[in-house]
Amino acid sequence: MLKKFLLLLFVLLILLTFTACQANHQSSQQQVGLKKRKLVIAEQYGLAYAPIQLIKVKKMLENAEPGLEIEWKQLSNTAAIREAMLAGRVDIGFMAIPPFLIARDKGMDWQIITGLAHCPLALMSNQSAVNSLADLKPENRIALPQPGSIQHILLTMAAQKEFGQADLFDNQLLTMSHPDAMNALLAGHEVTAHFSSPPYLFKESKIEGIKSILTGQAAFGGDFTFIVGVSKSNFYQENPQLYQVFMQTLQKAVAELSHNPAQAAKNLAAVYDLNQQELLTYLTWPGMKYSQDVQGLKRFADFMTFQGYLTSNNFKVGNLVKTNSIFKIIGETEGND
Amino acid sequence: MSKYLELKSVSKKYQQQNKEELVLKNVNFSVKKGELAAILGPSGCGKSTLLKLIAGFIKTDQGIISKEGRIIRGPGLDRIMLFQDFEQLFPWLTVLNNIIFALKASRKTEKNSFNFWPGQFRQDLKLLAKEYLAKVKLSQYQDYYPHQLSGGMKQRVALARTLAVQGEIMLMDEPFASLDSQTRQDLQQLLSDLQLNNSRTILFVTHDIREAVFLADKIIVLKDNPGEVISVLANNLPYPRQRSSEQFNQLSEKITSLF
Amino acid sequence: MISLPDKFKQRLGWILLLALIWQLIAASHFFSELIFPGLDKIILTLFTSLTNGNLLKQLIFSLIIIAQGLTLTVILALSLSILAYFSELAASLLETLTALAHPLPGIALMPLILIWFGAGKTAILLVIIHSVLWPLILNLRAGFNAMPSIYNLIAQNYCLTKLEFLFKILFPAALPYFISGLKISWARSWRALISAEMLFGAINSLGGIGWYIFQRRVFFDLPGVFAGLVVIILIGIIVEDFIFARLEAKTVQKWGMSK
Repeated sequence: MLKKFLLLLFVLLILLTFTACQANHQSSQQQVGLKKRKLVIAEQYGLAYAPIQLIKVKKMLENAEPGLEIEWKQLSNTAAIREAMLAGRVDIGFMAIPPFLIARDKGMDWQIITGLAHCPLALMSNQSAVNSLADLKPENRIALPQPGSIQHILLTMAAQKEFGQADLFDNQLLTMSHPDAMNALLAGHEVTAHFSSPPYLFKESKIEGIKSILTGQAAFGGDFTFIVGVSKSNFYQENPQLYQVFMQTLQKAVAELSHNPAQAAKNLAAVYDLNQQELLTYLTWPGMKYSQDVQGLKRFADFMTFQGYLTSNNFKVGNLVKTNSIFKIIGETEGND
Repeated sequence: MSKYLELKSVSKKYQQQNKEELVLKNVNFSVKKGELAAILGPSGCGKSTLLKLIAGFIKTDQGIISKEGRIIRGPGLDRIMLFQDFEQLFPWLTVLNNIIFALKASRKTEKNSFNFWPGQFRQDLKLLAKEYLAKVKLSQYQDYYPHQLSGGMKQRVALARTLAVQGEIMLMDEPFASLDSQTRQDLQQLLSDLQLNNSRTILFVTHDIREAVFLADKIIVLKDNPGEVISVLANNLPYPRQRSSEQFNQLSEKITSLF
Repeated sequence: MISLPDKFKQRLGWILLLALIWQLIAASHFFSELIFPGLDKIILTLFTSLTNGNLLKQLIFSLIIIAQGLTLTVILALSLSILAYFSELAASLLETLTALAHPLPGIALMPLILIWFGAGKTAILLVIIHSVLWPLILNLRAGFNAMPSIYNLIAQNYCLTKLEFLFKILFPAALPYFISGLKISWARSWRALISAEMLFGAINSLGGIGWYIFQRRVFFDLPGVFAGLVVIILIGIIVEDFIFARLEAKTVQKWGMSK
């Protein structure tokens, strides 16, 4: 019996080594070979992604780089984007800073390549008796996309600031997508508060009886970039030209949203399934700012390290961001004093 | 008491694919108390149907079946059936518990109204069950499960279970037909021995002439299509009956000639 | 070493072999460690989660929900199947319901359940009950229908009440089907629970094993995800090979009733 096993093991090992060699061979060929002619971009639904939507509907990348094939993936959560990028199926992904940091901390070799948007975020409640974090009782449920999301980290920041205990609300979380959470909030049972982002935040704030009890800015203690663009370092190293094309295209899209929101609203109304006027209101809502600058990275990294969400504590903002003359890093020194 | 169990002009039809089939036609016979009556006939002559009618599982279309002058209207513990099928034992009960099952069923009222000490009752049942098991010579198998027994042993247990109910009438539907001939003869001998003092009334269905001659006091011969009684013979051969004796063979020949 | 049955020895051998291959692949660094963590990391994470973290409590929480869900479903399935056994009207209703509901995966019902019952424990229980009830009913009814018809005659003959028939004959006779239905139920309830937990998030403050895996996933902790899977596999093996195997050995196998 043992003999048989050993024999089998031997055969399998040989097979294993053989396939490994072949695969290595193939991948090295790919590296040396043709320039990449396909770009895969992953994003999520939400107003923060408006520049990406603009690039998509106006075929801006196709126009800038004829012959380039582009695949858009709209995934339902950050974890899925990360996993797709880890598996090498996505070149550029968009997400908030904390999920980027968590994966980076676990050894994922990637960088922020651009900022995308600042957005108002807020914890919304449907109960008249709940007007601040202090009013939340242990049995009240707080809906947010997932633990480790920016909404979760902002909540822990506020809890730390107000009560000195970051994980105070961790046992009250309910993982829900934004639309589900909004429906639960409207239905009025099960969920007491929802850490919301646009456009759900704007829709919720228009409803009687639902109000903000904590804003993202208050929790963070300032402005921060909500969504950033991320890629693995081998992407821009191996495709410098493609990277540059993408950055310049994004710059144009951001510019249109910043300087000509009415035009952008016209272009995007169909994408967001909103009428043009409503979309324009949303795009120009106080606090909405499309920009490639990256702001607040250091404070997120410091706080998450301090709270143990990140284990390696020698993050340097310079290593986390692939710098480019197109954008600035804002607030690198803040929080150091 | 000459007419203990009586069948008067009993007929039975079965519905079969839009056409009625007459299974039993105008069956008349009676059985005395303590008698072992063999119902003999070729397969398909309605002998099993006859037994089911007497057991009360099904109803007659015409005619009446009565016991001690009272018409039988449904199943009862006074008429206990022994089947040919080995599956009649419950596989989840040990041999002994299969017999206790029958004892309990037949003493339900006793348990409810007289016995205040269930533990003692249970103990009594066990002893009683062992007695019945001894009668069929299977004492050492009491803790076996049915699937561990041979076909012959299973039928012995089933016989013991039927005996344990102490019904006045035992209805045996070819109980030994699926056994090999040696085992069959052993069981015939066992039944014959158990019946020596004529303690029960037994209706024994069979298609085996020599089995009927060996066991029965009375042989009711049926023909098929439709099932009708063609002859009722008394069998006065002395016990113990010898299968090789001349009288035995003569009677067998006589019955054979009836078909 | 204790003498394990050959089956387990072989299985152990295979597991060791697979683990070895796994470790070899991990050590080769052919895949990134983020995609393919080594067993050492997985086991270390498992150990720290069990000792420092809440994994044990989360596991117990999940098992309790499953136990509650299964108990409720078994009672429901038994009642409905019995009703259908005795009433043809109920049977046709139940058949219709089964035909409608059985093909629906529990996951597909979740949005509906969320809206109607919120994301509480009720929701998870409902998902479990839905995914278990229909296959269990199908099995139970198959078991009832597979009962040898001779038992019906015996029950009539021994004058059993409906209740006695249920408990003394129908249930034990259907036990092999019930157990295999229970096995399917167990596997399906496990799956339903884990997917429900991953979808609904933490139901009590800690959540269950599904929530553990989800948490590991969102914190990009693949060894943790694997640790959760290892726990699920271990529980599966324990339940399948010890609880169910023992149950079967003590009942249907001993009785020679294994399907």
